[in-house]
Amino acid sequence: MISKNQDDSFKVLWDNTTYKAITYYNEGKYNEALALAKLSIDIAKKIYGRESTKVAISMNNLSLIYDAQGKFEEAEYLSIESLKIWKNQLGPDDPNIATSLNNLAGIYVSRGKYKEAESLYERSLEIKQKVFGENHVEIATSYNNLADLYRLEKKYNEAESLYNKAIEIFEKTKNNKNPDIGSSFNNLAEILKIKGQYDEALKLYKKAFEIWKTSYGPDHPDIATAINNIAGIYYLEGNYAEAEKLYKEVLKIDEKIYGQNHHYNAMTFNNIALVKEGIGQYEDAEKYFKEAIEISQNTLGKTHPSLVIYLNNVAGLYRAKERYKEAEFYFKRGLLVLEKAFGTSSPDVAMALLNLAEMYDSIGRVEEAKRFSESAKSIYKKAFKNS
Amino acid sequence: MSKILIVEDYKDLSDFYQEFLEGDILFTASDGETAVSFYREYNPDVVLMDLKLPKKSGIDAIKEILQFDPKAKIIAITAYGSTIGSKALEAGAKEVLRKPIRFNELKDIIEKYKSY
Repeated sequence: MISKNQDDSFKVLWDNTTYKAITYYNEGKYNEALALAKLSIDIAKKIYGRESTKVAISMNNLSLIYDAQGKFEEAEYLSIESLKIWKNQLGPDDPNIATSLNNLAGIYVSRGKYKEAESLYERSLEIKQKVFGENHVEIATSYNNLADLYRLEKKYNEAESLYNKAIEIFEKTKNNKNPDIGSSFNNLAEILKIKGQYDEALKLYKKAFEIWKTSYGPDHPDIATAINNIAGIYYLEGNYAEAEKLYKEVLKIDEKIYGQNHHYNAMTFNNIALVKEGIGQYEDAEKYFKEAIEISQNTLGKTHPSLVIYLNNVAGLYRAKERYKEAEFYFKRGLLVLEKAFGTSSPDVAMALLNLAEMYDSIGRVEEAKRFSESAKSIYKKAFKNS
Repeated sequence: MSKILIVEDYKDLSDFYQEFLEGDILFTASDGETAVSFYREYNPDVVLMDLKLPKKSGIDAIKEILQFDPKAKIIAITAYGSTIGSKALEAGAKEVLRKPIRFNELKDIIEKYKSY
């Protein structure tokens, strides 16, 4: 039997473990968060009972951690269990249920179950609209979530309209500095970029950057993302000097956050190389591509698919400069990585073989071209037959 | 169902794209001149444009198509690095893909431009 004093100290323990689990989760320390979240479920069951809302909160937290770790089945199970408790305890229209539905929808998005996610986001929005009315930050967040989903589903017009609605509410409710409005601007910019509206996209990316800078300070991953996005537009618009300057800023921030040897840096070195190559500074481009290859190999290993991008890019540079031996060497290394990563009968391998065949053909190595082309054909005929 | 114009002078690669893009209505051209005239005739939703082409270069074909239809969605493809890629962007291509293209990347990009 638990005494009153013991009962009180267990309640404090639940508060502390729950708070710490969430803190670790927010800091990305998932293993530490996981142990505490599990403990907080046990404590909640013991003190408040198996069907209490405290158990639902703890289960929901553990589900978020599993989701972040990519353990989606466990996350989904816990999220559903948590939702059942909320419904039993509070009825169908409580705001906590809206949050819970939202979290479960997020897990469905991670699992690619977009239809299920959409109906949950809509139900969550409906509850929030009943509780908070239309002009509330919670509604704006819901519009953002739905818009993100539509963007993933490539329903760009629907997504654009919802991002605009979210922004309108954030602004009306004086949440102009909320990081979430930064996300709305950033993600709306993604859509405008796809539609080729680069000037508009650039303005919005810059707004996101300003908001996130105020919220997070200058050395935060989202700031690196924002600068990277702005650089991407400058690159598309042919403003290579500005693009290069910004990619180098991204590199500085990422090196501060993750250190020099991180695969994010490989992608940034690759982007700088593309700029250098675009303006004809081939030696520099070659150097940066090779830096990207080196970092990618060191951090993700020699058979990680990301490596293929950098190998092929440097090969493309050599091909353009008619340095065919080097081009062949790097294209073939890319091919090997693809074979190791996806198997010898993958359509990507067929594409890589055809690319080599085309190069051989263009330089008169007709027999090799035929051989590589035949290998490619036999792969994709099988692949498409089986699909 | 969308209309896709594939412009590629290496026949085996063009065959591969056709096999791969089954389900859409496909038109294929193996030179820049034919690409422009097919665009005018069939008004495709998306164009996959190789940049090194006989008769008329991919860059010139992009410019001509965009003169005719400024909203044309053209994805440039090249095996020759980003120098020529930059020229394609300047000419108005939406994106530049470098060969060899990854299967899912191509699928994803075509879907993206078909969607609006």
